[in-house]
Amino acid sequence: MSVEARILWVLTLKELRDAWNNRWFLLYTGAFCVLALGMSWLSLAGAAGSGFAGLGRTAASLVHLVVLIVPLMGLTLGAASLAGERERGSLILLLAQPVSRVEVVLGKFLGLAAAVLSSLLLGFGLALLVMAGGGGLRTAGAAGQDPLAGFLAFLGLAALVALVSVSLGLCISTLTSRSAVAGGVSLFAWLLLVLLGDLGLMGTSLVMRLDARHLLWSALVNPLQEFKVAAILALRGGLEVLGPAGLYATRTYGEGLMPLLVSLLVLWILVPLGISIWSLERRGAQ
Amino acid sequence: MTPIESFVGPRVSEQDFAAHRMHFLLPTLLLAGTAVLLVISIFLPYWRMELHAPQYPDGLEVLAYLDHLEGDVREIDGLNHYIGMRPLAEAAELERSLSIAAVAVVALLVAGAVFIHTKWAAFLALPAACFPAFFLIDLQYWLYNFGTNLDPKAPLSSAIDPFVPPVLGQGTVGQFYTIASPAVGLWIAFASSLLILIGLYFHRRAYKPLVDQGLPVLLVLACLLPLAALSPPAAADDLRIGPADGEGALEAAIRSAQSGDTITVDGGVWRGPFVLDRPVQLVAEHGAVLDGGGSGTVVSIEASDVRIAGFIVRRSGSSLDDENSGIAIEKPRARIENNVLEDVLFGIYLRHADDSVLSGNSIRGKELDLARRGDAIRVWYSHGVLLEGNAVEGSRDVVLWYSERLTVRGNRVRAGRYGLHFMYCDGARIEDNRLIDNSVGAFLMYSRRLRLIGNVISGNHGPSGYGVGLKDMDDAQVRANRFVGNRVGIFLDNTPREIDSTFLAEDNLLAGNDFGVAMMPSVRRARFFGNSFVDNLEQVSISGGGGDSEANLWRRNHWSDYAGFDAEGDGTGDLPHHLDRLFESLGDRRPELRMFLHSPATSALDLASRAFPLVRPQPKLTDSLPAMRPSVPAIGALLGAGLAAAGSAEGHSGSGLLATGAALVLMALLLWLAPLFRRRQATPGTGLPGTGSPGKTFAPSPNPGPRTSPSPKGTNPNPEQLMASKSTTARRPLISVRALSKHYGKHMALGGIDFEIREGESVALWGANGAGKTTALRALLGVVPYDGEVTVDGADSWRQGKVARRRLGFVPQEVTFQADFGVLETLEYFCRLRGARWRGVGRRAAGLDHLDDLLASVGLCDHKNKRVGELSGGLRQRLALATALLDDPPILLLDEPTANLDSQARGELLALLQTVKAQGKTLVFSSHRPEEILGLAARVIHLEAGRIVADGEPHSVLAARRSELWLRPAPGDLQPARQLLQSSGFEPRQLGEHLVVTVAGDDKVAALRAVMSSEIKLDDFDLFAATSSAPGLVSPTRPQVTS
Repeated sequence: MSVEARILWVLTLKELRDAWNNRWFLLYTGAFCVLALGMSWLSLAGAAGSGFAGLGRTAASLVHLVVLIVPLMGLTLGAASLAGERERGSLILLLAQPVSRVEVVLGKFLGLAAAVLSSLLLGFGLALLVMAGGGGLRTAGAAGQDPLAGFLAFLGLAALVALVSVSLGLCISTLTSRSAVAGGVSLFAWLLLVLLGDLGLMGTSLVMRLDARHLLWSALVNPLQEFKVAAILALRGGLEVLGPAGLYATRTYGEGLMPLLVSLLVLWILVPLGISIWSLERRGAQ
Repeated sequence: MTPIESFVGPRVSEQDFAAHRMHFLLPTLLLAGTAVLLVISIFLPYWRMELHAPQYPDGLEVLAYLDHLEGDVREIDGLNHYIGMRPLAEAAELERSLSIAAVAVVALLVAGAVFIHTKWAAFLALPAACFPAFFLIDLQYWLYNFGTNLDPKAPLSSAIDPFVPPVLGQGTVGQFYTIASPAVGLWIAFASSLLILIGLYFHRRAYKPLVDQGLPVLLVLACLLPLAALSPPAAADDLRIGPADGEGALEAAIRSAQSGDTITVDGGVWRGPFVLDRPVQLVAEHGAVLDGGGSGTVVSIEASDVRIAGFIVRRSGSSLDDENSGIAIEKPRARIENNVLEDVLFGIYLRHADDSVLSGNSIRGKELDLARRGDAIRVWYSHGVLLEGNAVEGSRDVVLWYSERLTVRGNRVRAGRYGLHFMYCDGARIEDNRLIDNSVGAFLMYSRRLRLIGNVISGNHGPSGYGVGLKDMDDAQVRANRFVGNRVGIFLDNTPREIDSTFLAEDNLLAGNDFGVAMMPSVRRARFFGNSFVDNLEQVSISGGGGDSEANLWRRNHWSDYAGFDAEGDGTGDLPHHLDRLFESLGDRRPELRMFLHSPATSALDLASRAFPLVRPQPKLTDSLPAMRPSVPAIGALLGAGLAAAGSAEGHSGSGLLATGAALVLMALLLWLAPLFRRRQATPGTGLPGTGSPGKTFAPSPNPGPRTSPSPKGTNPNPEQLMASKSTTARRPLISVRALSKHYGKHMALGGIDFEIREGESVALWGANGAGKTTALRALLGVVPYDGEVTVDGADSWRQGKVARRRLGFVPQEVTFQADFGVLETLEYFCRLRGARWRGVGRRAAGLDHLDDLLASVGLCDHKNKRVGELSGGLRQRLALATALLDDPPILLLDEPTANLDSQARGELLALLQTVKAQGKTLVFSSHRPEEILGLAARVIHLEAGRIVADGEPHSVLAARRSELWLRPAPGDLQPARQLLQSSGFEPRQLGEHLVVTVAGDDKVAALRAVMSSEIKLDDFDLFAATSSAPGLVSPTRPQVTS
């Protein structure tokens, strides 16, 4: 099926515009920016006493933020998009235009991704400005690598998480017919990824005494864990902080670990997106 | 004079003796006293040797008397056995057996010298004067004999090379170091020697005048020797060489140099290796280079008191086995100053080089894997060494082993494995150093009384990643250091080790580490006072969990996660600080759970433990007096300079931060504004009606007429031609439907229908609700999957939907445009979505003109600045029509376009559609309104329950429809009316007070006429579409009647 960049661009802009008219999205963006600003400011304020403020420390707290907010943003936005259009009947009007179903899915994905990414950029950009204004790096502890490069890598990984969550949300959206159902499923998926999965795995690990290899790979099924591990690797250059599983990962995969994690995240983007395309190709507007 | 007289010399007269009593008595007393002292020394120990090793913290001691040994002889013999040394009792057996008698004889000889007034007195006293020297020489011989004649079959013979401990002073034997010193007996013997010399001096002064000869030559020599030793050395020379002196000039200069000479090397690259075997100074000027050529050690120092300053020392060999070094020092008191060592395996290697000084050197190791690198500095059995102001980068370790009284001050060690590695180094001071980005900052083992003060230790992140690790350390103090961004700030393992020793960490800053302090659960008696724990991921970790929270003392520390308060404002929290997080506790016990660090699940666990005290773990520690504010240790001046230099680089990064932050915000804003940008571009500037529009009455060009390709471009015949062409039968089929069926679950929406629609046709899909009209239209659009085959201008509507839909415009039954979009914005969106292929020049201008035409043609000009939400239903439907016509598609599909409109709007829309039809477009629309069908369609496809029941000219199809005639006779006429209808050939059914008769579409009035022409009184009647989903002529609400 041919895909025209022009149509993707039109759909992307439309989706982006819709996102900025979506009060939930604005709420998420506002919350994300406020929290990112707050964290960097608190980090600076807390560090002012000790004389050591580090980008690494702030970014570490931003890991929490990304893990919590970004999937929520992407999943709910993605879930609301196609299911809502299907429910309102506007999907028929859209599909009745000379566009392919692949273009519709890709266009929506790109638009939503651009919207969520713009939130990320805004939040992290403001956080960086606050840190720069606070002189955070001038007294930063040595991190062994360029902290800014680490931060940008972190930002890239956060962007991947955004894409994963949008892709998942879109997948949920194409597989359901009603936006309420899609919203519910997306919230459950968020809960599963953020909380329940990890809690379950922690319990399993305690009971089954999983070794480092199995624990690592069980955890890495979760894209948020993939992000977290990759983000720690990017910010710190090592995974010692994650205990034996982290050491196992770095020693087993070495330099290939980051590409591996990024590939997994990309897979998490592509597979749901593929399912979305397959589903829309199969169902059409019905 | 007899020989005896000449031997004993002249006698002193009584007058002389009386006149100069002390003059003659003094030598007598001195020599006699000497004899007595020598006899006393027989009973005292002559020599002491102490052996120190880690496993013998109190050392071993052996005391040597003239005839036997005392002390830890048995233990030493036991140790010696392992290395193949004979028992000490076997040493100097002959000497010991004779020594008592020998000393007695010597003492008697001295005593006898009292009575000899000639030079022979000196010869008698000489054995006694030389006795201590003889003793030491003999002892050294035996030490040599024992140390170099080891049994090769001994268990550890291969572990130790032959050795010769010094008879006096410090030496090493394996991991032992020895301290040999004179004991009381020897001191007495030395004193005796001195007294003999003094006595002989006075003896000569008293008796010389009495004899003709002077003092014996030997005595003079004996007196002169020590003086000669004390005399100043010969004046040192200053040699100067440069590249002009040729390649071997430096070696030659070294060979020719005398002790104390200074060789100044003025520039040049000098190929080594070099061996300095005499105490000289090598001083470089103008960047002189000592180049090892990539093999062996560049400079070997084999003499004490050598100084090397200002050189670039480079390219040692790469053999770890041979420990190839930049500078290897094997003698004491070397001074290595301000050299740059690069591309060296080991940097500066000190073996037995006590009291050496390494200062201001810069050392960079070879670019090898960490494990294959050597140590930047290795200090080995060298006491009292000073390391000051050196910079080390990219090496393996800085190793300091088996050396006491070390001072390590103001050094910078970066990007290595162990910033500092101490073992068996008592009494060391480590001050003002900067240990950054190593695998481990400093690892300190098996030492006592170490002081670590004022250092900056940060970014140490290896698998161990300790800022400072202390193992088996006693009485260590770690004060006023900054531990920032390490994996572990301070790690304690079995420290303090001894029961009566302690460990103190005081006034340190531990910030941003993974673990502020990590310790083994067995650690006791450690004291942590006044430290600041700021934002460590885990402030204190006890490996394996458990431990006794009271085992160590925590007071006045600042905890950044302290949740208490300070009501009194005295700087101390009013509540004690407990460390009792559940996830930390789990992680201490099961480290693999740290995999879930940063997961919100961990916070959930901690919240749960606070909510339910049952699952709250025992606190790891309690600080009863937590400080409210952190304290930051001051930085020493030496270190401050280093930090300032580093700060400028980080400041540069800060400006990069600002730029990056601004760029990110800008990108976000651009993304935000992107849709607005597009919309502004689409807003017409001169697009108002009558202001430049080309004056078309309908936006798209007249229908292009018969086309031979899907391309929308083509010639446009005039309407007359079109109308004429419509009447022809040669028009090609534009839409073809074959065996189209569609099921929604078990419900059949379409049951295999076939039809064709030719170019320019206007076709109505007619049927009741649920007949399949909308499904058929959706199949034509290719927006729902179906079975069968639907092609639009040759393109499969599902598989080639995009191509097919370029030929289709669609107006839905319910318009679902976005309410917050403007009219123009909506058109713009669909315009771009459809490809906006406009004719003419200037896409934008032409497009906007076209939009205005379009708006005018659908009557939306006055509403074009409104939002969709503000439009009435009719206007929305017009807007939908406008979007469908945007790129002038040849086919228009309309799904019940007037269903939601009032009669006026319906009429207007139909008029509009008439115009479209007149333009020659192919119209396919669904409807259940005959007036629409009759007014618009040239052909009707009649659907019933998903099947085509009729397909033809509208009038004939409509005429064939069946209807139900509902009659309500007067109450008494119901049965007569029923009988009348039955007799007239109808089959009336009674529903309440109604009689229902099914009538043919072309003769609906027959039944009514039959009743009206009789006597029967009719109160009312109605005509409905037949109940078997047949289409009806009109569509009033069917009465709800229960039969």
